[in-house]
Formats: sequence, structure tokens, C-alpha cells
Amino acid sequence: MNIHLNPLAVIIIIILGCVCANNSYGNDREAEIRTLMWGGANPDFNVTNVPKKWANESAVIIAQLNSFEYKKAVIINEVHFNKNSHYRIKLIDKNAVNKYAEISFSNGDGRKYQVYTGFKVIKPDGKEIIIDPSSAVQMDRKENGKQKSYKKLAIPNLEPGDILDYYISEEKIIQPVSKIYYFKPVLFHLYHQYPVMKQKLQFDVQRRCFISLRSLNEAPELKLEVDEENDRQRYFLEDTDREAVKDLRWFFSYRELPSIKFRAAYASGQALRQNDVLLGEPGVVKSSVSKKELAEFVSFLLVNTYTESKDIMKYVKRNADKQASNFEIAKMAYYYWRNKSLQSDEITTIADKSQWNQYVTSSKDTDFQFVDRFSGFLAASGIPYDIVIVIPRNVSSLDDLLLEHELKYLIRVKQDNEYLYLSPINNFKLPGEINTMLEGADAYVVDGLAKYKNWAPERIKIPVSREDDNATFGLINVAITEGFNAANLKVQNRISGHAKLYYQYWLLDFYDYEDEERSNYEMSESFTGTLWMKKKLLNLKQSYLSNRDNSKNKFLKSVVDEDYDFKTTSVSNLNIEKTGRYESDADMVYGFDMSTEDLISKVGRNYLLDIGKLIKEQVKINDDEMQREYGVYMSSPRSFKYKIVVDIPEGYSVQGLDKLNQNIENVQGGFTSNARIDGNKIVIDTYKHYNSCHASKDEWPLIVEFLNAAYNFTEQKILFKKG
Amino acid sequence: MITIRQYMKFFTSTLLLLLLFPGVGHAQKKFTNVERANKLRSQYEDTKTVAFNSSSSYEFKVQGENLEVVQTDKIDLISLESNVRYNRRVFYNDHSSVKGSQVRYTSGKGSIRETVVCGNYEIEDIFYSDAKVCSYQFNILYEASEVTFTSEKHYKDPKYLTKVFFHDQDPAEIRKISFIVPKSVNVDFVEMNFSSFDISKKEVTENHKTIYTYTIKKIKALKNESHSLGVLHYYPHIVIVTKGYKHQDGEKVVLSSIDDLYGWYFDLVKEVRNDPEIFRPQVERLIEGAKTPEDKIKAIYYWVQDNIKYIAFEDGIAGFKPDAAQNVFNNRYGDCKGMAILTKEMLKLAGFDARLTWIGTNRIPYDYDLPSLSVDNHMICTVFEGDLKYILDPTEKYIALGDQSERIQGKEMLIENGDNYIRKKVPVENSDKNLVSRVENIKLEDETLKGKGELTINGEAKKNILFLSTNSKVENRENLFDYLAVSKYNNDDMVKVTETSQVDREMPLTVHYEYALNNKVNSFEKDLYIELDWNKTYGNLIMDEDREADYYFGRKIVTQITKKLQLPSGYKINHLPQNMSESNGNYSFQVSFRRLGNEIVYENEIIVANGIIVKDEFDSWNKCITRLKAIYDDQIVLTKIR
Repeated sequence: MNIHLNPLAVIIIIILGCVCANNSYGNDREAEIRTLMWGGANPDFNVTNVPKKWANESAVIIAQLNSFEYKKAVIINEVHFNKNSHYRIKLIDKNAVNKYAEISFSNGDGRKYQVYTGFKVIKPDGKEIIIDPSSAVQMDRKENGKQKSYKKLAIPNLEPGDILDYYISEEKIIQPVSKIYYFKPVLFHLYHQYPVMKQKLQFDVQRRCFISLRSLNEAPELKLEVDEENDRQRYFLEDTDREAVKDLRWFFSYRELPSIKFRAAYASGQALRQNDVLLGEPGVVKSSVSKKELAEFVSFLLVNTYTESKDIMKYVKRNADKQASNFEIAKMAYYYWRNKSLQSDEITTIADKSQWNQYVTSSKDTDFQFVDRFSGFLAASGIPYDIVIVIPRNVSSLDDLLLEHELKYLIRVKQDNEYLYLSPINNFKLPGEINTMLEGADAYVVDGLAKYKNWAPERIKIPVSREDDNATFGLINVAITEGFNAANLKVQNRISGHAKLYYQYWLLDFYDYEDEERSNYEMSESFTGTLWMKKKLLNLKQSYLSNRDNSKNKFLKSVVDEDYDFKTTSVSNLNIEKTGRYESDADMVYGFDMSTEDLISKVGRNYLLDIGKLIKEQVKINDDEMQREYGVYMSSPRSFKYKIVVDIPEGYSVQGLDKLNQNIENVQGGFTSNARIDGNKIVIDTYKHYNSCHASKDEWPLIVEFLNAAYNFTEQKILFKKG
Repeated sequence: MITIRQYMKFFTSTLLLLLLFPGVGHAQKKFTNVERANKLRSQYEDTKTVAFNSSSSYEFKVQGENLEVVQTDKIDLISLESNVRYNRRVFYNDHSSVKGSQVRYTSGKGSIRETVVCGNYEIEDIFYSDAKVCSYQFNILYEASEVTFTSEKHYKDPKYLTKVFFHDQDPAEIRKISFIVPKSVNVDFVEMNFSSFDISKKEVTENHKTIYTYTIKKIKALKNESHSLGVLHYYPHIVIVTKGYKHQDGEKVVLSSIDDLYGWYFDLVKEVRNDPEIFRPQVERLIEGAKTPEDKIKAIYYWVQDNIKYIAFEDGIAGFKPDAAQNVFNNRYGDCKGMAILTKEMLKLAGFDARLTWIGTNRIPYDYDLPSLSVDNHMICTVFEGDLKYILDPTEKYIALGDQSERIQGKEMLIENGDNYIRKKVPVENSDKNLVSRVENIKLEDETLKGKGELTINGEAKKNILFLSTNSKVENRENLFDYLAVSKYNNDDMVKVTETSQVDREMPLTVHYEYALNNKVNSFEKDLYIELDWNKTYGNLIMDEDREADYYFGRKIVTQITKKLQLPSGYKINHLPQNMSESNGNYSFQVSFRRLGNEIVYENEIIVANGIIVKDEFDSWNKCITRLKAIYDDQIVLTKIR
């Protein structure tokens, strides 16, 4: 008998078959995960009692499991990533109940991203109530034809004293576009906002997978379990009895709290041969990076980054003095290249960034392109230099280096025994300035002129700026109005180093430094690009300039309101005297006027002036911050110097200056102030300085000591006494 | 005469120009109107876009047996700045849909690219609703560009079209609202807050349709201001009451009277299948020891307050129909309707005559003369016990039986009464119910101010603080009471809360405390300058000149402060701040400093009897605040005599 199959019917059968199989798979998988999570295999998730010592906590995490599973499909180009998060939490007070009464989670997006969840409440009498997952509501959003959604579940019957036991399992199928696929790294704190009785962290990988793994800050090491039969390896950690940790001022949590750093990756043999990356051997945990690996990786990056430096070479050749030193040449090149990227800054000033983004980004170097471009230039010029490889202080110590993306790069130009650091270019950066998060960090350097194969990374410490390198100096002249209704302030600020970046960003625009750039460099009169684009931009420029004074005054007002702890009635006359964009005039200098009715008050026939508030808002350390268990991490050493000059109103004498004289100095910093009468003026000098960007917890009281003195100063008043 | 050569030259150069400047030469002029922009800029400061023409039309259409309304918005905008990122939102839900929108240059030349995002959005205090929004985003590159946005929205059922506002996100030169009503449709347009605005109305009838057109000129952008009872109280708007319509086969009533509104509500309630047996054991447990009917009501009312979380689902009809009482009980959460129905059913089990009650909170300035879904937004429960009627709002936490929250006081209730209903107002409480008082005894030791105090909080503020404190983490709870004791202190000061009253909704909340503060006294030679009242209650509450809304405190205000400062030996009083006694009908300030024996007694009483400062009072209020601030800024001066 001949059987004739209709091709369309075959297709329908296949499709239906797939759909059915998929549904059936989904249901099976859901049941499988449910058994895995709630099947009782892990006794930690059967516990109901919490230790008495945590009875006053808001909640206690009885058990927590975070597992990550990574697989590579055998033939097809797919990698699979599964993530299970399982929590069993005793909710002690209403705050915790409110927090967990509504839970949001991803909805997945079909076959390639599935999400399975389970939620149950365990009442104090042991009764378990499993929540129907279909009671979750779906929040949809459609953007340009693409549907996105998430789900929200209101947990029923939740009361203080209950245990909430829930899991969210996500399973993703990813089609890598390159031969090396890096899964998203996991950086996992063992401390949480609630205390933890028991937690388990596990990474399940195929044996051919590349694993980067490191325990930080005295976190326990992960153990290994090998499943030969299924070609799997499981790295796991069990941790018990962790206290809760609260938010802390000036703290880099990854530098002190026990944490785990993990990343899985897959790479083909061919890809490995072609790429020097920090992957190690398949199936063998990589927990550190050797100097050799680091050197090979950086050289690989340099070989595979494409920039050219002919333009810089040409400029330097034409303009540099024959006797110019290495540093002079490097600086010349640096300023020149900064100027080249200015057109994009003009566009971002006048035009909506989202519309011009592509145009703007294409003309800017990435951080590593900068390193490559300047390496090329310095090497071609025969100027000795190092490439500096460093991890930001807030990310990790150098000894804990594990992953490529943790790294930052600088150039270090050599001249005799001196070094000039060059950071990736931005509008305001000067040669020699180093990002605050890199200052004081340990780093490796490799000799830029040496052959890659001879590179031997040498360990150094990045220099740290001094407090007076990052200084704010403010001169404030204060005149009280005739009727004592207000105080008019004339302010001039001189700001250096890291301190000036904030003010440059908010108070300067391209047109503040256009003239100084044009006087140094040949710049085209207007925009490049098509006539159509040029015309548009010129029009936008005209429109921006017509409203510029107004918009700059608004920025000034925001900056002033942020700086001072009193209300201003007006802010005006912003005058940018120096932009601080060149080493020869490295400070930013600007002035403005403001007036306030908040500082002066009438007491009987006399007047009180809140003079302390003129040194800007000071850090207030609250009661609960006085004790500190961890070190102090700040951006940089810095100092603040103010000279306040107040005209004494005619017919009045001044009292109360004595309280304005303070002197706290210690190894971490200080606050000193001196007040005196000079003719018909009150003159007050204050100086506050943070000497270091890091202090141990034992040194915290020293910091508090001068912070308290400065805050106390802001509360001081002087009296203008009639007669 | 033009030669062929000259002609060719002209043609070539023109062609070249066209090639080089594709659409540039006059591109901008095609859609800009500089003259209009300049004129409007002088009228509307700090404004990026102005609607020089804005119209909304609502056309009622009988389709078969149904009545639909088609809303068409057309907004002609002009940009007063370059680079304007504009975002227009059109809201819809299960009862309405957005059928289409378009953005183009008003001149019709050139095109604008828009990004459209549609879907659910999060609304504060509502867990899930059918409310959705379409957001249309586009860039207006040049200043003075004229852009027209049009959209169409369909209402499937006219009772869900309840009100239309004149004010919108942009200020408007001319704003028109028109209603196109066929003869077969019976609809009322109720004008609200028209008296302070110049709104013209025109009515034209042709082809069996009447077109009602309202026009207002030069209106500001709609502002949502803090401390306001909401825009319904002051912006002009039209409430649309669709009473009914005739269709090919007969007539249909929509909402012609309050009877219809109640009938619809009551039908929805009748559909709810309650199963009180589920919570009977709980009710029995609760009333077991109760001696009086009032004790029983309290037991149930307080249990619902304490144990049912407010989680609101307002999805389609769920916005009007309560969930079944047993679901709310089992879930331990619900919205106002769910809590009201659970309370009612529990009370019924306990033998009470409890009834559902619809009400609009004080954000809605209407009563039940208006048969509209916009008249209410809340459900509570009323208990008839003998001659008494107890009004229970279980969404309120820590409110005592007999007390009413500010948001429903004075508001009319629609109380369930079988097929009928009862209309009755919630009593307005006296402002004394909200008394917040502070008494401190203070002495000076060197230049440290040492005090012992007692803070007593009643009414609305007590309710809020009890909720905050019982829902905070332990450490934050301590900080809250420290803050209530002394609002501002330093780490070298001492602030200690010695006793707080038990959490009891029927008793005032009291906080006993002690302090030693170092920065409240300044010494100048022989003089001590002393700041006694650092809270400076309402000292900075100057009403902005351009504020549109009345200022609402959230509660009736009565604050009383008494501080007694013991005169240190060897000092005399050199100066006391001025006293102040101002009464302005609704509000009053009584501030005094006096010597009483060996003490300086400072007293401060501020009353805002109805909790609102209306716009007409702003001037006189601001004058009082200026005086009050001067007193707060002033200090007590003591002079050393030996």
C-alpha cells in the first residue's frame, strides 16, 4: 500500500509534536526542580528554629542555596546556563513580612529562557501552605514590537513568625557568537542584610569548562566533587552562622567582607590557540593569575587593538623642540590628542546625546585604545615607557586578580628616575593625574619598549596624591545688608586635583575652553560631516548659546545648593577665570555672587550670624556610626581651606570669635580654624584635611575627631552687638 | 532675453545646489514658526513646549445595542527650545483602548520618528491593576518647531468615561473640549471649578446631533503639588454623567441616578460568594472573652486592621467588586473592598448588622448627588448596633473604634440597605483629637542644656507613628523615637528615651525622654544666648506665590509646646523673644515667653482647625510665618549678675 503524506500535514505534525514535547518537557522540568528544591534532600531546608541570639533581628535566613550550572551542548552551538536561588527565611517582624509580601521575578521569554518558581509558607505550627504560582500577575510592556514582561506575586497568609521558603530557577540557552564564551561572572558576598544560619554556594560545570574561582577576605575555600559518570564537576561551599551587615559610610565591601569570585567559560581549542586570555586549563580551577599570563594577555590585547599614531607623530615632529624632554613630548602628544576629541564634546553640549551618540562615540578612544595609541607613539618616538596594569581599589586587591575585566591600564613615561603617568584621555584630565580608585593600588608594569616575549611584570604601587594636591580654596566676602535682612556673599573658589573634576563637569561647557584650545591648536571653524549635518549642528549651537547663561546659572544654583547647608535667595554672576585644563594653569578658578536670608537673625537689639555655615556643609557622624568594625575607604586625600571675610556693620561690635578657634590635628587629618578682627572686618581662616584615602578601623576615632570639630564649627554663631 | 547657455548655467547651478543641500536650505522653515515661539516665550517662562492649539473631542456613538465613546485628541505643539525630548502619554485600561496615534510636523512636511512603549505601569499602593499607558517619545530638534500629535481612544462602556480636564502636561494657548452627542443619548456635563476660570460654552445642534464646545485660553501646565488634596479640588473639569440611550431595539440605562449607581454596585456585591464558615472559628476565638457588643466589634475590627495587609488588585471589574471574604481571610491581604467585606462577614457571624459602605475620600470633592463612578474610591463597613452606627475603615492601621481618619471625615457614605441605600455623612472630629503636645523641664549646666520631656501624640499623627514604628526594623524604631524626642542632635550630645507607652490605639502615644545638648547655648561675654525651640514648627512654611493648590497638612493641626527653663543662679533675664497672638478664623498662633517665679516659661500653640490653608489665606499666613520665624530665630538672653 502506498502511503502519501501531505507535506503540509507533516510540517504541522512536527510543529505540534515540538509544542507538545516542549510543554511536556516544561512540566517535567518544573516537577524535577520542585523535587530538587523541596524534596527534602537538603536537611537545612527543613529547619524551623532560629538561634535565640537573633530573636531581635527583623528576619533570619535559615538556609540559602545559590547554585549556578553551566553546560555546553554537544554538537549544536549552544551553551546552557541554569541558576537556582533558594531561600528559607524566618520573618520575625512586620518589616520583614512587608518586604517579602510582594515578590517580583523574571517571566522568561519562551524556550530559550525558562523561569520556574515555588513559594511556600510554613506556619509556626508546622503547617505548610504551597502558593499557587498561577496567582502571580504579569506586567507587560511592548516596546517597538518587542514584548517584555515580569511577574509579581503577593504572598498570601504571611505573618510575623512564619517561614517563607521559595526558589526561583532560571534556565537560559545562549547561542554564542564567538568561539570563546564567557558566562557572566559571579561576585558573591557571604554577608547579607539578615543573619544567615546556613548557606550553600555551588557551581556545577562540565569537566571541559574553564573555571576561574577565588575565595576572598577569609571566605572558606570551595570543595570539589567529581561526577565521572556524567562528566561533571561541582564546586561548593557551606557556610554557617553569619551576622547581618549594615550599610556603612566610606566602605569598599569587596575589600573586607568574605566573598567568592567565580566565572565559567567555554572555548574551542582553536580559539585558545588564537587568543591569550586568562582562562587557564579546562577542568582545572584557576584561582590566580601569574605574571607571565598577565604579560601574555596584555600583549595579546595590544596586538589585537588597532589604532594609529601617525597623526600624533606628525604633530609632535612639527612642533616639539629638539631638546624637548620625554615628559614634554608625552604631554604635548597628550594635549594634542585631547584636542582632537573636542568636536564630540561640543556636540554633546549642544545636541541631544541619544541622537548623536553614534557620531560622538566613534571619535573617542576606549581606555585600551588610548593605551595602544600612546604605546605606538612612544615606541615609535623611542621614548621609554611602561604599561601599567592595575585593579581599582574598590574592586579587588592585586593579589586577588582573577578576571580580565577587573583590570585598568595606564601609561607610565620614563625620564631618568622619574615617571609621568598618563590616564585615558578625557576633557579635563591632565598628564600625571591618576583616577582616584587607582591611586595607592598595587600594580604591575611591563616595559613598553621591550619585546613582548621578554616582558617580566614588575610589581609597583601607584603613587598617591597628597591632601594639598586635591585642594579647595574658597575666599568668601560677606556683606550684611543695611536692614540686617540678608547677607550678600562674593565667592571665589580655586580648586585643584581630583577636587576640581566635579566643578569642571557641572560648571564648564565647551565654550568656556574653546578659545584656549583654538589658541593652541588649529581647529576647523565649525563642524565636520555632511552639509546637512553641519547645518543642523550650527543651528543647534546658536540655539544653545542663546540660552546658555540661563542654563549655566541653573547648574551653578544646583552646585551651590548641594554645597551649602542654607537656603540661597539668589545666585548670579558666574565667572570662570581659569578652566584648570592645562598643567601651566592647573587650578580651576571661578567666582560668583549669592545672597541668603538664612544666616542672620535678630536677638533683641543685636544680631546673630550663623558664620560657621560658610565653610559649606560638613559630614555629620551619627551616634550609630561611632563604633566601626571595618576599615575606612575614601576616594583620595583632600583638603579644604576657606578664608571668610565679613564686613562689621557700622555701630556694632563683634563677640564670640573665641569659639571659632579650633585645632584638631592627628595622623589621619585635621581641622583648624582661626578667627580675628582686622580693622572693620572679621577674618576667619579654616583648614580641613584628610591625609589618606584609607584608614584602619582603629584609626576611625581619629577621623571622627576632626570631623566632629568641623561639624561643631558649622554650628557656631557670632554676635553683632549694638553700640 | 535668456540665452540657452544662460538657461543651462542657471539650471546646472540650481541642480548643484539641490544636490548639495538636500532639503537643507528651507528644511527648517518648513516646520518652524519663530514669530509664534518668540511671542509665547515671553508668556511662558521656563517652558520647553506650549500647545498653541489643543482639542479633545468625545463623540458618543450608538453601535447596535451598545454605546461607545470615541475620544480624539489633537495637540499642536511648538518648541521654545532646541533639543526637546518630548513624551506624551495616553492612558487606557480594560474598558478603553488606544486605537492609533500620529506625530507629524504641523505643516505636514517632514517626518518625526517616535518610540512607542505600551503596557502596564506601577501605581503606588496598587499591587496590580488594568491601568496601562502608551508612551510616545520623540525629539523636537529645532526651537520653534510646530508639531501635531493626534490620538484616538475608544471607551467600550460610557460609564467609565467619568471626567475630562482642561489642564494638560503643556500650557495651552487655546484648549477646546467638545462633546458630540446624538439625540438618542442622554448625557449631562457637570461643570466643576469653573468659577475661577474664563471658560466659554457653545452648543450647536445639527443633523440630530448636539455639539457642546468648551473653550479656555491661556492655561498653565497641570501641576501635581505636594500637600494638596488633589487636582479635583481646584482645576476646572467636566464630569460626564451618561444617563442612558435609545438604540434600535429599545432603551438602555447607564447611570441615570444614584439608584442606578447603587444598583450596579449592589449587583456586583451580590455576585460575591462568601463562605463565612472558613473564618467562623477565628471569629469565635476573637469574641470569646468580649463582654459587651462594643468589645466584640473592637475585637474583630482590630484583628482585621492588624492582620490583613493592604495589597490591592484593581484588574477590570475587580476595581469595583470585592473579593470573597474567605479569600481575604485566607490570603491575609486585600484591598479596601476585601477588608470591608471580611469585616462585615466576621461581624455578621458575631451577630451584628454590618453593611458595606461606599465612600469617596477627601481627594474627591463630590457627593452622591452625582451618579458617577468618579464619586467614590473607597469602601468601608458600617455597623448598626441599637441606635448607634459604628463606621469601620479596616484599611487604617492603629485607629480606635469610634475614631475616623481625616480622609473620610465629613464625606458622604452610601450604606448598603438591601435593594435600597442610606446616605449619611461621616462625622467631622474636633481638631483637639489631633493634639500633639510636648512638655519639657530644662536646666542649664555650664553651657549644656539638660532637659526632661514628655511628648504626647493623639489622633492622625499617633496612628501614623504607630504604624511606622511597628513596621520598622528594631534599630530604625529606636532612631524614630530618638528623633521624636530631639529632632536634631550631635554625636557628643545625650538623648535617651526613657519610656514609651505600649502600642495601644485607644490611648495617646507618650514618649518620655531626657537630653543633654551642647550646641543650643552660646555665651558672649556675660551673656548666654539660649535656643529653646529647635523644632521651629512651621517656621519655614511660606506658601509659594505660584502655588495652585490649597495647602493641606494631611490632618487638623493642634500642637502645643511648653518648655520651662530654670533660671541659673547668678543670672538675670536680659531679653526674651516677642510674644505672638494671631487668630485668623481657621488658624491661630499663640507664642509667649514669660517669667514665672524662677522659671522662664515658653509656650507655643499652633492650630489649623481644618488642616487646610486655602489660597486666599496665603498672604495672611505668610505674614504670620514671617513673624513666627523671627521669634524662632530670636533667642533668650541671660546676663550674669555676679
